[in-house]
Amino acid sequence: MEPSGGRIGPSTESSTSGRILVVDDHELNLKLLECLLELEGHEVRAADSLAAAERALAEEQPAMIVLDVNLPDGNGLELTRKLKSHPVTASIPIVACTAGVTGDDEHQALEAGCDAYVSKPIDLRRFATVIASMLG
Amino acid sequence: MTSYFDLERIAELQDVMRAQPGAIVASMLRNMTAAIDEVEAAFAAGDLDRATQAAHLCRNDALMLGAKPLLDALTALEAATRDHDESRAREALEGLRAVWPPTREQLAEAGRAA
Repeated sequence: MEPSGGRIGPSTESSTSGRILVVDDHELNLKLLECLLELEGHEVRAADSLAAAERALAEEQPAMIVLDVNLPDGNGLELTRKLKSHPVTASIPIVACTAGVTGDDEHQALEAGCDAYVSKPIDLRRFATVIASMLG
Repeated sequence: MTSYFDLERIAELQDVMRAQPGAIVASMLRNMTAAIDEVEAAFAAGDLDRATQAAHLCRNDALMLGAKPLLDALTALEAATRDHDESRAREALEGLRAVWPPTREQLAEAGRAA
């Protein structure tokens, strides 16, 4: 996927994977999310920026995306809108995972098209439940 | 729980992340020190957007640690810098300067004890 203006979502040549794409610029959060998902038996692909997420999406379509909203190179909700408006990627479940300050983050995430919202700090048990329900 | 962060939370993270005792605290100390230095540098340069990003990164650590006083100071700072309210941001920076040194010291102590 190109960062702006170009093709969005995986190309027709890209594969569909069972992996979960986790996008977070905070190293420890990224590691924590990876560990939590791997403990639940999922394969994970990690991206630490919007650009890295876009590169991953161009290569393969993940089973789900766990997406930080506030990223240094852009807003995760913009990526959500793009993916949800594209027929190839609209069905990928997206879980927003944020440490917002406004108190309106859940509403904004759901309005942008996210399928679920998890606030930081991550409640370890609740997170597993949300992921299972999204993949169920 | 110390007055500045939640030791149980650290133990929980260590367990999930299969990390060596002290490794998570050491990593957070490095990250937060760098982020707060970046906040100070951003203020010195008059760049509130840069301060927002640094404060936001540090808030992630504070949230993970259950470091409530630090989290409150960073939340106030991030909200003010996002609004480009320099006066409120400078006030919030003073709050951060008050709470960060004791938090850092208690974290360093927890790291040594791990």
